Order: sequence, then structure tokens, then C-alpha cells
Amino acid sequence: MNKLKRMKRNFKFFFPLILKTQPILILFLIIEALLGSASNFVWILFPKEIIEELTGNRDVKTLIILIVCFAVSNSLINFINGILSNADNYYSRKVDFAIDKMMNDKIMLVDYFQLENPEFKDLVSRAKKGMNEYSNGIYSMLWNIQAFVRNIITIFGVIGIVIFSKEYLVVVICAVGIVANWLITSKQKKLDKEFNDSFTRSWRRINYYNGTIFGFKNHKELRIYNGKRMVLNTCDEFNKPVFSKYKKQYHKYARIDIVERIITILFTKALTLILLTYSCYKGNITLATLTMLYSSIGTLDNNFYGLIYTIKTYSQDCEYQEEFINLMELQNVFRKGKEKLDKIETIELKNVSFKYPGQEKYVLKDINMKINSLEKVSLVGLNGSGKTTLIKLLCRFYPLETGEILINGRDIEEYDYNDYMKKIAVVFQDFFIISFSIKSNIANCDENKEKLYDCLRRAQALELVEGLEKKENTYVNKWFDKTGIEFSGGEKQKFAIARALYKDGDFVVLDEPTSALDPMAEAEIYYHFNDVIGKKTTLFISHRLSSCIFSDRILVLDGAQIKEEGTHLELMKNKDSLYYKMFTSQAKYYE
Amino acid sequence: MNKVRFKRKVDLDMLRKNLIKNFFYSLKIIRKYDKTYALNKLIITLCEATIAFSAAYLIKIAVSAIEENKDFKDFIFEIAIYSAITLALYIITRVCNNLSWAKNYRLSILLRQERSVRTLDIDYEVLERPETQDEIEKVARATGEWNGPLGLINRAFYIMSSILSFLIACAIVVSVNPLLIILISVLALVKMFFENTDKKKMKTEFSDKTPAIWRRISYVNNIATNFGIGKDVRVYRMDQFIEEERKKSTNAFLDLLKKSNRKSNFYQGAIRIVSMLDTLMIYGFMAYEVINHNMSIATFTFMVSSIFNLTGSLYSIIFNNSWLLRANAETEDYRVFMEKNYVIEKETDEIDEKEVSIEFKDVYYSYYGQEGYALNGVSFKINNGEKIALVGYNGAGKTTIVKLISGFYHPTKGQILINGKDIETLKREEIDKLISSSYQESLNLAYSIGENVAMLPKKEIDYEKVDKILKLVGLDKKVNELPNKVDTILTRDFDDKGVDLSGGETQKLSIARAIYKNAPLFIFDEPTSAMDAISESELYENFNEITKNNTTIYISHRLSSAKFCDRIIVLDHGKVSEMGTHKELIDKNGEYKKLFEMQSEYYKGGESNE
Repeated sequence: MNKLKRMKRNFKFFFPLILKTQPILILFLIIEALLGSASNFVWILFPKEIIEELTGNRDVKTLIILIVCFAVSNSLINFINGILSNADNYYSRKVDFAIDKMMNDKIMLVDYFQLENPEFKDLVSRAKKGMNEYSNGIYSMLWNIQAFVRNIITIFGVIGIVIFSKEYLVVVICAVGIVANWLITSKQKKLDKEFNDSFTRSWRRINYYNGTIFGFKNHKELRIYNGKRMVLNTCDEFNKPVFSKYKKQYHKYARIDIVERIITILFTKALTLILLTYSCYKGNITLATLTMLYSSIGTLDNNFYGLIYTIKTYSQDCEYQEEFINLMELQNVFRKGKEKLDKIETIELKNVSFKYPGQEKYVLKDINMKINSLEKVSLVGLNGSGKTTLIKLLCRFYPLETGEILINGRDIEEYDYNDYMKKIAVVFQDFFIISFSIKSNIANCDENKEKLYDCLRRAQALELVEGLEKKENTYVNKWFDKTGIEFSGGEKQKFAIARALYKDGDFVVLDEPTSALDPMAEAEIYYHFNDVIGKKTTLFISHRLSSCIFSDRILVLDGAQIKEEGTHLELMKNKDSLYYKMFTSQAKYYE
Repeated sequence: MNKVRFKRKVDLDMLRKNLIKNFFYSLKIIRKYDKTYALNKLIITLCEATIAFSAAYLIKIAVSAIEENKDFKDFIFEIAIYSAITLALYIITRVCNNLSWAKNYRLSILLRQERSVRTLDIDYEVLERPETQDEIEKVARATGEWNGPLGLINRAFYIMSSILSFLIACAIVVSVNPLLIILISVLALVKMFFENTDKKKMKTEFSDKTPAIWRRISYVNNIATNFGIGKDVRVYRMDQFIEEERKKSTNAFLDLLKKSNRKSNFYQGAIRIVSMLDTLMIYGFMAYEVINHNMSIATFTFMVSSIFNLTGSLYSIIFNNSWLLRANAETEDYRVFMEKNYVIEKETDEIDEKEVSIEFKDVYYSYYGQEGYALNGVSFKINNGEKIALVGYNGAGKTTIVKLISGFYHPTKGQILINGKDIETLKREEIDKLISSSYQESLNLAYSIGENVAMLPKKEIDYEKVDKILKLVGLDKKVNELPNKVDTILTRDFDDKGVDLSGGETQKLSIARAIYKNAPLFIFDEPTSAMDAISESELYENFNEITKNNTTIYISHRLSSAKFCDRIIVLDHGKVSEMGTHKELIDKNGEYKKLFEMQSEYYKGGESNE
């Protein structure tokens, strides 16, 4: 996409957003820009008039008026600008927050399969970096609009002044300076881009090997295994090339700087001054006009440089921000269902085969199974046999290509997405507990304390929570609250179970829910399964095969297919079965 | 009132503390990595001090040539010389400055590294305290390019340059009227007073309060991009809660901002009034000189710009001074952190490195900042070569015991003997030599698999040994499928060809690490919790070979493991409730039997049920 198109797209996306959220911001920016260029002219015109008066009439009254006007107008402009910039700082922060929200909503509500798609992950990280690191997010548009208006007005004003004084040769010199400036800024911007591209990548790595790796959680191993030497070795390996590249980059910058200075000093300073002095010698301009023109050329130069820089910056920012717009315009593909769902009764998989996008190997092949209402089904298999994938399909995380999943006899896709999600409760193997309070983790925004405590009791976490000073309001870890508590894996797992119970869905899926629990807590949950989970349709995954005995039915996944099916007793009869092998391999240690 | 004054004084004293000492300390540590740093800065300082005058002098030449009606050729000659000088000054400054950015970047990383490595020296128990973590965090800030030692040096040189510039301006202006210098300086100081008050108000009412809010904002902003939460967000609609949090914290931030803006506007007004007086005085005074003392216009323009340079440099001195003081406070943190002696001096008893025996004598342990004891008088003895299973409920103190044996924690009461010597008298390196351990939260460093197993620089790794061990723990198949085999980098954070290991695989890796080191004592804390039945059972079968020559402590919720251990220690609420062989404890009919039967019941064919 070419630069202009990209800028247009960026403008079309963000400008209405500002208009919609904080329209007053635009007004502030324009007033600021106008005052900014007015300030330039105050500094060009007043000193000129003062010198004019000093070299001419030397009228004290006129001088006093001039100097007072000069001082007052200058201070006033700065004062108003200060207030406005404070105000627009506030309003632009609001827009900035709105953009953060857009980004997060997108990621939290996008089709789940995208989150496991490396391309999407890349898009997100590029969008995030594009908005926060490489460009200044919404500020780049705001600042650039302001700078653009200010520069343009100043440039036209100064050109007017120069033309009015009939110093055309000076205009030519300026033009040369401008072209040179243009070239230099282009080069500089190109270097900036190179810099960002290569260094943000290496920065993450450098930061990891020189800093993050010494984070507290790595200390136990680093100490016991004396990993210091290994780490320092790698630090050296990574740092050296980055340092030398960095140095080279700055050499390049220095070269550009030198060229820029030569042009500025020789053209816009020395040569202009010579020409103006020559004019003055010939009597074309007065001494006061000379000082004025000399300072206005300086202003012109600065503003041209500013203008070019503004345009280049904006054009580049648009390139970086493009990824954000792409992300925002990404549509969810598979939430088309409209059908209402009151209760999940039966779940049936028909000829379901599944492989992850971009992969050859089928994770699930030709799966047929049915879970009846209020039935308790166990799913067992070795690591990597596809159990977790099956759960993901049931959560509508991935679109199905072959086969179908039927809920109450209807295709799962036909049901309204949110409706369906309300009816399932899942304890994932890699569940996630956020650093907020226990209550927020379990009840989300809900406030039903009685229900909360009932769920904590059923998840064997009641004693734990009641023993805490702040009870259910205790924070998980110390990220937000110094009085927060670092819970153990087992304790967090109990919270995850409580969260699923609190949701009270019709269909409960438990993926290794007791892996970190002690034998007592684990047994408590198995023993009183009906009290704990309630009368629900349940799908249960565990490596602890003893848990299967409680199930109505056991499905054994092996090599992407359901190889065995039946109750515990039925499966144990066949001594060649995988189930028998797995069960006895654990059981023999308990004989 | 008095109290407030007093507090401000203390604040300032704290900022100024050891300024000279810290300056030289910073020079010293920078010199360690970069010999020419100070020289480069000195050159920049000299050039920057003179550059503004040299540029202003150009216009003076032109104006005085006209006023005195000089020969045009002489004028061109003069202009050429001064342009060349100005240009040269600019070029030197730019080149040196660019060099100095590159230097700053490099040094800041090296300082960060130095600080990070230093954390390894801190006693683990102390390290775990939130205060220590905060302190380390604070010291991390001192390693920025504009903070701590680097900031201190940079600011100091800026101030030197400004002082030099100020002196030059004074020398120029003094020829007109010395009083003017005093007046201008006073006005500039008044202005700066207002600005400082503004900043200070801003700091107490805004900057000091925002970090806590930013912490929340950045958490809710980053949590979505932590894709691990994706599943739970969708099933539990956690986005609703997160959204509410976001609203709360961003609103709090905006409120603060609004309030501080309002206050700031007042000070801005005061500053503008002073700067109005400033302009009035400069131009008024100079105009007076032109009219009454016949000062030339050339001198007029040059004087005006010199006075602006004078106030400018004065301003820069004060401005940089407040940054200098801040950098000084950070450097003080850094220096104290780096110079503090974290190693508790110990009688350097040599101990036998071939074997290990452990004895707990009535050990109590209380976690820092928590009431009550996590361990309540624990006593037991583990002999060399013994295999011990440590079992008990969540929170019974198993992991605490492991950390005590590792020397990470120190007993609050009681004594731990390692090979008959009090662990508190042993150097850390001595303890480290004795132990191979795999902890509950296993570690995946973004290094190659080989390095993760051996924890050694690549050149020193015995790859044959690594391969053998990977086979032993059942990770060989997985590793051989990878394109770079043992050289594959773990995690995909930095390497597209990297690999993310599953929970069970990470546990196998952790065991492999322990085996590679092959210290006399093995500690396994929940080593198989994420493995499937077959992997676990394979590991159990290899267990005797793995631990053949080593004393072993095995912690697991799966009591099956207790079967192949010589002795079992049962912990309950921080106490040893039972101890003995599997058979003894079953016969004893106590807690262990209860736990064991609880777990084993359903493995007995399941006939008893339903």
C-alpha cells in the first residue's frame, strides 16, 4: 500500500474516533497551533520594530509601548498555550484509554482459535508494538495535526515577510535549504525505521538474558545448579553483536548530523547573512529589517524541517499503526448461530476429525461418541492423545471441518455463541488465576456471598479461605496488594474448581482438576462427586485412573481415535486393552 | 508547619547524600567498562558551553560591519572564519554526542547485568521478602540510561557546561552593567522557584500516586495479550470483570490528572508574569543603553542574546541539578546494593562431598511476616543412601523442609545437621555441591535443551551424558523429533524454531537436570504430577537406577511412590506425625494408612464400589 493511501486510511480510522470520543480536543489543538505560530511572529516582528525605533527616532514613549506589548503578548500566548496543553493532555489520555480498551476487547472476544494461531499472535504483538513502542499511538496523530497546522501557517507568514521585503535571492537559498532538509530527513527516518525494527527485537532478548532471567522464580535452580556461568556466557554472546551494531547505527546518525549542520550553517546562516548585509550596504533594506529577516530565515528553516519531519513521522507512524487497524477490522468468523439454548441435555460427536490449522497430523480421527443427560463420562489416554483438543472443540474454540457436534440433536453451530457459553463450565488443565481477589476470580462481577462460600466448601477450599485475614477479599499474589498471598498450585486449583462450580453450568468439563491436590482433598472430591459437582452432565479427564471407577462410562483415546469404551469393569476384562495396562501400571504400586 | 519544613529538609538531605562519593563511584564503575567515557563527555561539555555565543556572534559581525561601514571583503573574511568555528564546534558536539548515546546504551545494559548477577548473592530467605523484591526493583531503575550512575555523570557534565556558559555570559554582560546580571539572575531564580513548586506539587499529588494505578492499568492492558488466559476469559466471561477494573483504574488516573492540571495552571500563570518582567527588563535596559550611552545596535543584539544565554544556562543548571539529585539518590541505592555484604560469614568447615546425611533437631520455621509456625518442631534423620518419601496434605510444610535442606531458608528455632555439621555454619557453595533438586514449579529457561539439562556453558557440556539422561527420563523421543535436537531453544519467545514443552515434559527435563549434576542428595518435589500413567510408571521403573548411589527425598501426592522408598515421613500441620517403612505405617493404622487406602481403594479392581 502506498504512503498516501495508508495515511488516508489511518486518518479515516482515528479521526472519527477522536470526534466521537473527545471532539473538543480538535478545537484545542487548532487553537494551540495558531498560538504557536503567532508566538513565532511576535519574536520576529517586535524586535525588528524596537531596533527600527532605536536606529531612527528614538522616541521613548513608542519604545516603551513596543517593549511592553512585546513582553505582554509573549507571556499571554505562552500562558494560554500552557493551559490548553494541560487540557489536551487530559483529553488525549482519554482517547488513549479508549484505544487500549478496543485492543483488549478485540483479543478477549475474538474467536479462540486465533489465539493459538501464530499469525494472529504476531499480528497482535505487531499491533501493540506499532501503537505503543514504534509510534506514539493516538498521540502521533494529535501532535502531528498540531505541528502541521503550526508549521504551515508559520511558513506562509515568513515567506510573506521575505517577499514583502523583496529579498528574492534569500528565498532561493531557502529553497535549496529545504530540498536538502527533505533529503536529510528522509535518510534519518529510514535509519529510525531500521533501528526500531532490529533493536526492539534484540531489546527483548537482551532484557531477558541480562535481567529477567535473574527473576526470583528462577533463583532456586540458578543457585543449586550454579547457572551463573552459563547465563553470563550467553549474555556476552548476545550483547556483543548488538553493541557493535548499535555503535554503527550511531555512526550513521552522526554522518547525517554533520551534513545537516553544514547545510544549516553555510546556507541558512552564513550565506543568508552575507546576502542580507550586501543588500543593506546597497541601502535596499534597513538594519532592523536585516536582523528581522535573518531571524525569520532561522524560523523558516526550523518550520520547514518541522513540517517535513511531521509528514515523515506521520507517514511512518501510519505504517506501524496499520497493523492495529488490521486487527480492529478482523471479523469473527464463526459466531453465526442464532438459536436459543435453554438447557444442554445431550452432547453427541459424529464422525469428528480434526487437525490443527497448518498441520498435517490428525489429532482426532473419526470420533463418534455420545454423552447423555446427567451422565458422567471419563476420558482417558496418554499425553498428547487429543483429550484436551476434544474439550476445545466442545467449547467452540475451533471451527469443525469434518463431522459434527450435536447439542440436544442440533448442530452446535446453530446455537447462539453467548447462550451456549453460559451453559458450560470447564476447569482447564492450564487454568488461569488472575492477580485480583479470590472473590473476583470465582464470582467474577457477581456478589452472591452465600453461593461463593458454598462453592468454596464444595471445592475443599473453605477452611483455607476462612483462615485468611481478609477472607474472600484476599488478593492472589502481591502484584496489587502487599497483603496478598502467594497460593500454592493446589490451592489455586481449588479456586479454579470453585469458579466452575459457581458458574453452575449444565455441562461440566474437568481436565485434570486434581493434579496438584493432596490425596485427602482429591479423594474428598471423588468421594462426594455428586455433592461437589451436583447433578450435571460431566466429562472428566484424569491421569489418576482410580477416578474412572466412579464414571458411568469410560472412553479411551489412543492414536487420535476412541479405541475402547465401557464401564471400568467391562474394560478391565480385556487384559490386552490400553486401559487395563494403564490401570494396572498405577495399581501395582498400591498392592 | 515546622513539621513540614523539617520533612523537606530531610528529603533534600537524602537526595544530596554522598553526592561526591557517588559521583566518583559512578566514574569508577563506568571506567571499568569504558575508558574514554569521561573524556568524550568533557569534549561535549566544552563545545556546548561556547557554541551559542559563537552562533550569536555571526549576526553581531554583520550588524557592526554595517554600522561602522567596514569594507565588504573584510566582512566576508570575518564571517567565513566565525562560520567555520561555529561549524566545527557543532560537528564535534554532534559526533561526540552520537558516540555517547551508543556508550550509554551499552553501559546501561552492563550495569543491569551487574545488578542482576548481584541478586544471586542475596540470602534466599531475604530475597523472598517483598521489601527485598521492591529494593531490587528500585535498583533496577538505577540502571537506565538517564538514571543512577549514568544519569549522575551525564547531569554533572551538563551542569558543568551550563556553569561555563553562564560565566561566559556574565563576562560579556558585565561590561555593560554588573547590576543587570544580579537582577536577571534573581528573576530567573524566582521563575525557577515557581516551577519547582509546581513540579513538587505535581510529584506529591500526581506522580507519587500514579505508579499504583499504572500497575493496575498495565495489568488489565497486558492480561489480554497473555494468551494463556484466553480459554478462561471465554468460558467465564472474565472480560466483564477485567473491564470493570479497567474503568475504575483509568477513571482514578484521569481524576488525578485533572486535579493536578488545575493546580499547575496557577503556577504557570505566575511563571509567565515573571518572564514578562524578564523581557521588559532586558529590552528596556538595553534600549536605555542605546539611547543614553550610545551603545551600538551590534552590541545591542549580541547583549540581548547573551542575556538569554545567561538565563538559559542558569535555568539549565537548576533543571539539571534536580535531575542530578534524583540520579544521585538512585546511585546511592545502587552503590549500597552493590557494596552491601550479603554473604553471611561462616566458619568454613570442609565437609565430605561424597555422601550426605541430614538430621533435623526440633526445627521450627516461621515465614517472614506471618504469624505462627509453618514447621512446628520437626525432628528426623536421613542416613546416607536412604530413599525417603515425604507425604502429607497441601500446606503441611513439605516444600518448606526442602527449602531448609537446600539452605534457602534458615530455621527459626532448632538445628539442621548436614553430615553432622550445623547447616548454618556451612558456606552456600558447600551446600550447593551436595544437592540435585527438581522443584515443584519447574523452570524452562530460554536456552537450548542441552544447556537446560547441564546448566553449563555450551562448550563444557558432555552431550553424550545429556543424551543418555534424556533417554533415562523418557524425553529422548521428543528431543530427537526436533529439528535441532538438544540444541533446540526452549520456548518460542526469542526463537521461531524454539519449542514449548508440555507440563509433563518440563518435569522430565527437570529430573534430567538433577541427574546430570548427580549430587549426593536428590530432592524431587512432585516430579510426576503432570505425567500420564505410562510415563509415570516408566519413570518409577527407572527410579532405582537413577537414584542408585544417591540419598533421595521424594515428595508426592501419589502415594504409590512411597512403595519404592525405604522410609516414609508423614507431615501434618508442620509436624512429623508418623515415620517408618511402608509396612510399619500400614500396621500402625494411622494417618498414612488412611491416606494410602483412600488412594488405593479404587485401584483394587474397583469391585468394592457400586
